[in-house]
Amino acid sequence: MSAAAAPSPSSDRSPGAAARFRPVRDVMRHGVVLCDADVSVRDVARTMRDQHAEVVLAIDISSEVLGLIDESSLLRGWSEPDRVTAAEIADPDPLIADPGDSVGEVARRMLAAGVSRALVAPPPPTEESGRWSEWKERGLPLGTLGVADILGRLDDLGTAVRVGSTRPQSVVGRVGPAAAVAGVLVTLALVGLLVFLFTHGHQLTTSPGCSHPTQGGC
Amino acid sequence: MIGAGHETTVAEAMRPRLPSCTLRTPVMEVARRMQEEGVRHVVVASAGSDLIAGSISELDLLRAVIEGETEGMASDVMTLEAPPTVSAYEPLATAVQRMVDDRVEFFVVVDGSPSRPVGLLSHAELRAFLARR
Repeated sequence: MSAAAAPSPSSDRSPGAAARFRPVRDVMRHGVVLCDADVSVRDVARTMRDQHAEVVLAIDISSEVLGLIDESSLLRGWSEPDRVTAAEIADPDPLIADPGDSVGEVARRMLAAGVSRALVAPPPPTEESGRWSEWKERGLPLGTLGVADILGRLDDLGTAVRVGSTRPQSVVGRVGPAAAVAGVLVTLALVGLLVFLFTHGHQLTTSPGCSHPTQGGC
Repeated sequence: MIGAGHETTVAEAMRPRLPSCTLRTPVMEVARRMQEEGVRHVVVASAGSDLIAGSISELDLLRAVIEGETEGMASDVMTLEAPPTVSAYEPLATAVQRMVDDRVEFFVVVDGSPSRPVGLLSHAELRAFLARR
């Protein structure tokens, strides 16, 4: 790969650029382990051991995620590990990445935040950046991306992570205005379509809400 | 305090082997060692001595990767500061409290006089200790 990674920097579609951009979904650990909000800290530790999980998500009785628990969270319940509950030690605001984010960009966010991993969750339907408060819009997490997952594949990922530290930003910067214009145009087109459907399309049954089955619109 | 009684010592929970490298160990080799041993920290020792010059965390390695310094040696990426130590015979509860208060991620466990490093106490060892009681 490294031999092919010296393309002209002007084209993002060159093979080298493809090697540099690696989405989180290619590198992440898929799947997360869940625990009930009211289990004890000691039981969380046992779950981590038995499931070989570095991360456990605490969920409440309605399956809503309360927060993320890792090894360092356990220290918060150390004094009374049989009484303190998962809900009390879970971090409600972990670093969250989209599966389509660049590994290099998420690596920089982890370094800046001083954390060893990011939780990977589907992107929210809006363009807001992912915070835990938008949890319900994101839906269930898909997995995690840890620093160890990156360090374990340096032969494969080294270029993606290194170049990713500068490149995606400039791409975003260039695309930004164009994307905004395109967004406005698409919105106008959709509004026009809706108006058309509303006035002419009573026999059409397709609802825009049904194009997104995970949002429960159907 | 922790079910196992007040007298539980650091020695009972520690990892009895200290993951280490020398100042001249290549960065990629440090990353490999960290993976193999399943640890997040490696101490950097002067070759052939117990003298600890600093440590390398997985975030130190990530920074090196991002900045393109993976061709370097441990001395290029290490945190140049002697890591915090704890006595093997200190009560575990005290050590954990100090870990929380000082926001320390790991201790080098020392023993004897003059003290020698004998192990590692990090969040991972504490998790394992909690689970087996």
